[in-house]
Amino acid sequence: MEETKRILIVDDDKGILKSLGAILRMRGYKVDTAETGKEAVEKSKSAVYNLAILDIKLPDMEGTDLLVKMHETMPRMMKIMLTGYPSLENAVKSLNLGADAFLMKPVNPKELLKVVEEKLREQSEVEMLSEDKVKRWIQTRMEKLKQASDG
Amino acid sequence: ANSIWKGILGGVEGRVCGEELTGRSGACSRCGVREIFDKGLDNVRYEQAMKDADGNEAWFEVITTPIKDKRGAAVEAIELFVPITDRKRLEEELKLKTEHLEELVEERTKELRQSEARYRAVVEDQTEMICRFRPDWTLTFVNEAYSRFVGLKAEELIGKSFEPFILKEDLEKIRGLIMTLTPQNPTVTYEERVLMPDGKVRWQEWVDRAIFNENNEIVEIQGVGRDITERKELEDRLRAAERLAAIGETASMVGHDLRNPLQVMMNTTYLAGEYLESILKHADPQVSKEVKGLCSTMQEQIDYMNKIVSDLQDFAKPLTPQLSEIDLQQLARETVSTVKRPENVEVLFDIQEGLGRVRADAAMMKRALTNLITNAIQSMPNGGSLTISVRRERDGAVIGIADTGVGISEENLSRLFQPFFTTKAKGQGLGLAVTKRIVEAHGGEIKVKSRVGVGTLFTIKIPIGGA
Repeated sequence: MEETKRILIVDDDKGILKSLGAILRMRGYKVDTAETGKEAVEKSKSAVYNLAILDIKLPDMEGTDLLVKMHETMPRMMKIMLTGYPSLENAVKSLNLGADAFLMKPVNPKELLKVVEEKLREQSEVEMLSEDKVKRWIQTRMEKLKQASDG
Repeated sequence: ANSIWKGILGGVEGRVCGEELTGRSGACSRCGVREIFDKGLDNVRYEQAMKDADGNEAWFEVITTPIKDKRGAAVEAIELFVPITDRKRLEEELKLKTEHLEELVEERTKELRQSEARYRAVVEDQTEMICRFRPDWTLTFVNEAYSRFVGLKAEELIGKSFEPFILKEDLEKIRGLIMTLTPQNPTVTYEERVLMPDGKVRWQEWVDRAIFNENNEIVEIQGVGRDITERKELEDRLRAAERLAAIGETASMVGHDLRNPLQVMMNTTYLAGEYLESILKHADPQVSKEVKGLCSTMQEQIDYMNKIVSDLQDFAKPLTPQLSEIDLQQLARETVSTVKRPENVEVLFDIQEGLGRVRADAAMMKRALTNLITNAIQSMPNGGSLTISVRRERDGAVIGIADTGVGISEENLSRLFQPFFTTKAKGQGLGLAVTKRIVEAHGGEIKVKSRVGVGTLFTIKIPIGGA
């Protein structure tokens, strides 16, 4: 059975954390929230998240700085920037810093869910691919070892 | 000749004039004795210069008197030589002084005349208006500039009050200001509005100086004024621009602050919809339909609010078109197809084919056209026709959006492109302002022609090539 995906939402607006959290939980995700960049970094140390939704402006740091930190510690985690400051520069900067998607507030929840699902699928495909590779590598190694012991 | 003679002129005492004077320089240019005998005169007087014993000039008044016999005939003559050298010198000096004085007076007069002419030229040729008036506002003097400004000759102005020229609203203020003038504080500066013969209002700035008599009462007031209408208009425009910038900044801030609540509203509406979905499965289909309708109305309103916020933010940020080669004909057709249109509005195309491509920002141009098309459709609540034309002019591509709608009044035409100007019950008045900004960001221009009850035509011209 497929494991439950974990999502971290980082936004200084409690209303967003509550309502967006409810939507994602309704879809069966396990959701954690953080109101500051610092809190987000702390949480990501003690848990592994498949995906994070980040606001571009946080009270203690720029969302893009948080993006860089998380990209370093968890390169495989999918990162979606959600921002009220729509600008081309912000979007380009975010994508260059390792964001996997850039969405503008307010985003239709259906749209957001679609992006979340898509990113998680991409992630599992990559993982499956690498899992597959490891399996095959082990298999070939074992065969070689077997041949060696047989020989 | 007596001893005084001898003292002055030398010579020998007791000799007669003939003996003494013969050969002396200057002597006997006239001869009193001869004149008495020849003409029978009673008295001959004249002034005569001679050289004295030292060779200096000596002046004498020569008085010749006849001595007559019993019959009255002259038998002898006495010549009296009165030395007048000192007097003569004084006279001479006086004459010189007088002449000099006259010269001086003449010179001063000339200078005065010149300075007056200069002063006159200054006063008359001034672009600044100069006038003098009595405390009751009757004019006593106006210069050329003043006459020119009000369009009346000096003769027509002097003796009359200038009150009728000033806008009523400004009269009390000026009267009050002039009242405050005192010998210690004799000048005042103020701005006033003047009603021109053509009905237009112009702004003037005046500096008034009061002239007082010995009792400290105002005798006259001298005013120097100039037209400051252009400066005023610039100031107004600047103020309007500053106001707009401030509104823009506020709008952008408010816009951003509204995005989070909007996101929350969207989220909760979505959640409510999802929960209701499962509850309503067992409900009355009519009720279910109603509730779903409410949810979608809410969603629509949130979307509309979002559009307002986006427009506000768009308006606040600088526009930089991302130029690419676009096909205007195609863009026009596409745009029309995306705008909701009631059935009673027909669309006509008048498109010149083979226009070629134009360098423009496709998304921006589409927005500009969408705004114009939406407005056109809204102006035809009872139906009509919308004509989209695209054609090439010498240096640009021209897109026309014409409707047969209600039209725009002349009063509203001038304010049409001002941000936050709207006649719609629902609208921020940003559509046309944004459209204009987009067109101008492309180096183009937008024009409008309209007649109430006939319709409106907007034309956008985008330059081709060149830059």
